[in-house]
Amino acid sequence: MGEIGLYPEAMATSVAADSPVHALQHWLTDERVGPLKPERVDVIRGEDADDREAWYFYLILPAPAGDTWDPEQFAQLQREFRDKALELGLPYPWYVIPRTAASDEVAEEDSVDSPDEA
Amino acid sequence: MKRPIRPEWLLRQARELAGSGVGQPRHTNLRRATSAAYYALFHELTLSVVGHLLPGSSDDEKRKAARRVSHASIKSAADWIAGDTPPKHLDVVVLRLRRNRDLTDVAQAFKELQDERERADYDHEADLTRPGTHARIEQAARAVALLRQNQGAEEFSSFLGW
Repeated sequence: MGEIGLYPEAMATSVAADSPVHALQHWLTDERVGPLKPERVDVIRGEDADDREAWYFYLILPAPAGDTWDPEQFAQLQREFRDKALELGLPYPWYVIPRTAASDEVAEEDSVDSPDEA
Repeated sequence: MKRPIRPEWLLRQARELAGSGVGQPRHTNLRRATSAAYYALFHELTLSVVGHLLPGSSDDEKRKAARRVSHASIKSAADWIAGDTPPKHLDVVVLRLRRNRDLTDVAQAFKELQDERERADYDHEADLTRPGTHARIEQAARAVALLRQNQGAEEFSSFLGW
């Protein structure tokens, strides 16, 4: 089983061990579609674009070989997540956010305060 | 000269902004790429809706009518298909439509892209990565392709009719 961690740590939400969220988080860490397997799953409770309380599942994935992960494999992983969420009765809304473990490095252009200083 | 909004052009813009290969894209570019990916799917959906409702109309008429299709109306239908509890009188049909995996993929793509676009455009603390941004772009591209492949399919027509 992969590690279940918290990302971003300061924002991570504690979930009850007997909750559907916890069960889904654990289930996801064992899920694999081809080479696509979460290294970690972090859960954050936040407000979505409609100001609804929502569950955000951050899938921490291995760095892809190219620009991103295989779209069909990612879609399959999302389908399986969706099926499991409905099966477990996870309160809607929920969101799946794919990302790598480390934040991207800051681009050189972003390190200055304004374009005029570049 | 009229230059219609073409979803594939928005997807191309998104890919260009997110960048490829070595080097780090500007975070602002990742934000704009996310927004462009969302709008590619949004505009494909609006054109699909008017194509469904006004099948005999010209392309020009459809593009004018597409402006009347709201984000909110698509969002509520997408939410029901993606997992939200529908109104009681719609629950049977929603459960039936959810069995169409392509349609649920489109619905999930829309609601996730809309939420991601909101973060990209308004949230100063949004931490976007290039692989994550490209994943959203390809999710939008896949949803656009599914809408085109399933034009006229029963479940898709029901969804677009909402």
